Amino acid sequence: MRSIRLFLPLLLLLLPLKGCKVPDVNPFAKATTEMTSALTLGLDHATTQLGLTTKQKLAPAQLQQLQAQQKKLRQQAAAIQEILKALDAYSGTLVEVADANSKGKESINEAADALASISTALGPSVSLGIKGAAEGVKAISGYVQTIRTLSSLKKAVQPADAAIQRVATILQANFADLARIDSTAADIQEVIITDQNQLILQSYDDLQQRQTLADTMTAYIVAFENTAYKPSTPRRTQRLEQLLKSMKAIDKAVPAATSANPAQLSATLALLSKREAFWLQRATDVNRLRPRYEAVQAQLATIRTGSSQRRSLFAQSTHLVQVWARAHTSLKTAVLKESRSVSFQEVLVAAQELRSFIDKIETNKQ
Amino acid sequence: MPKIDWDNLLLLSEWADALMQLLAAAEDAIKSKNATQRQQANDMLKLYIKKSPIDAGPLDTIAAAAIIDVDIAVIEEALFRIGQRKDELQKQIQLIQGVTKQASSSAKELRLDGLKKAVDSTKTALEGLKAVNDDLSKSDSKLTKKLDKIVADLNSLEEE
Repeated sequence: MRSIRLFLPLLLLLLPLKGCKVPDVNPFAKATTEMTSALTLGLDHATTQLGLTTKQKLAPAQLQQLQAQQKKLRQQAAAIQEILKALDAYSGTLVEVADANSKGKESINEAADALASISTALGPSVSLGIKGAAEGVKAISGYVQTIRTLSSLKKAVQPADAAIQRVATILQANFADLARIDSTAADIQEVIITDQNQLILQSYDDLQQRQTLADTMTAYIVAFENTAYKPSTPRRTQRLEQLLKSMKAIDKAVPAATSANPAQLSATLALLSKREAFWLQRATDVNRLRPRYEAVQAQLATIRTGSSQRRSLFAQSTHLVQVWARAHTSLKTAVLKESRSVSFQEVLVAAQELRSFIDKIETNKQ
Repeated sequence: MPKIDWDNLLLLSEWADALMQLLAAAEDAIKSKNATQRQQANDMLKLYIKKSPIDAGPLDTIAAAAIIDVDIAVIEEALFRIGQRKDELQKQIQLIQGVTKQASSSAKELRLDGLKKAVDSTKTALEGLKAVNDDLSKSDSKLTKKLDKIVADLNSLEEE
């Protein structure tokens, strides 16, 4: 009879229990890791870019201002870094809580399995009861463990959610400002390089315009020569006059349209040959300057490309912050939903019913 | 923003006058704290540098310095805004850190709890095994107390 009494607590474990489970914390943990990594990278970029501006040749007052801003940004970046660490710690702890649930269940299961194996030595009738009890140990202990885990998670995610949403909003605003700092710092670098190489850049632009004119002029001169050496060309004189007019509009040294008449044609061709040499020389100038111009452009392109890539990274970071905040809300909703599905009342009623039932057995036996 | 008639700027003095207008606009933009106005001021100064003749080099350098001044103001403003949000961010983080601390101790308890349950279950079951072997038939009033305790445990669990 005593055996029945001693087994009662275990028999209670066999009660049919309503199922509840611990929601998966990992999507939130993953979102946290991705977000904090991207934001850390963004912080590094912004501080590096601002630091690069102070390496440039600047007016002393501007250099002083940028150095002070660099110092301030470093302090703010360190503070934000601490916040990211706190968020990592929070997410890590939620994983620990969820993990404690499965670890706890593992140890319960191991103990229950050990118990079931011992029972086989005691004969078939007793063994069956012990095996059932062992299963009960697993079921109720796991259930209780899950309830406790849900309770711990609820205590964490429910009050934290409002803070998490607010932190997400602030982080997004901060990183929009950090993106602005980054792109503005890149702009300063670009302006300085442009200013330092102004002569090369503007000379090249001028020479390029000249080259376009040179190309046009040489094309006219070639057309003039071709027409001049083909007496059979219809309306040849008019055509030559027209070409001279067009050339005159570009080059004042070109003779007047009247120089297209046959008597003056040889002299005109000789003069145009000299103008052609002049314009070809101009085209050569731009080619000589091109390597220096391209080197400056490459420097500027590096700054612009880097700035554009970082702009994408900052935009991606903002998106990750949103994903992270949403993941937390989803987790909170899931935890609350699972917590609500737990019905202690059912368990209590069943336990009391069982107690009455066992009392009756006790009475009958006695 | 001033309207500059770029095509009619011929003499260096005319370019200098145009720059004076743009510098005044840049100064207004810095004071205004308006991001669009600042951007427009910088765009105009950049256009000036691009369009000005080669011999206007010193003027271009002044224009470049003005762009940097506007940029410094933009950075200052961004740093100020980040600084303004610092206190609230700290407050929220303290709350999250508090929750983290509490959850961390809960995780430890849960781990210990699981282990304790496993040990208790095994002990109870082993006592049961012993009882089966002894097979004593004497009534035990502790049984009722034990059931009461389980019900109380369940009740306390509900309150968590």
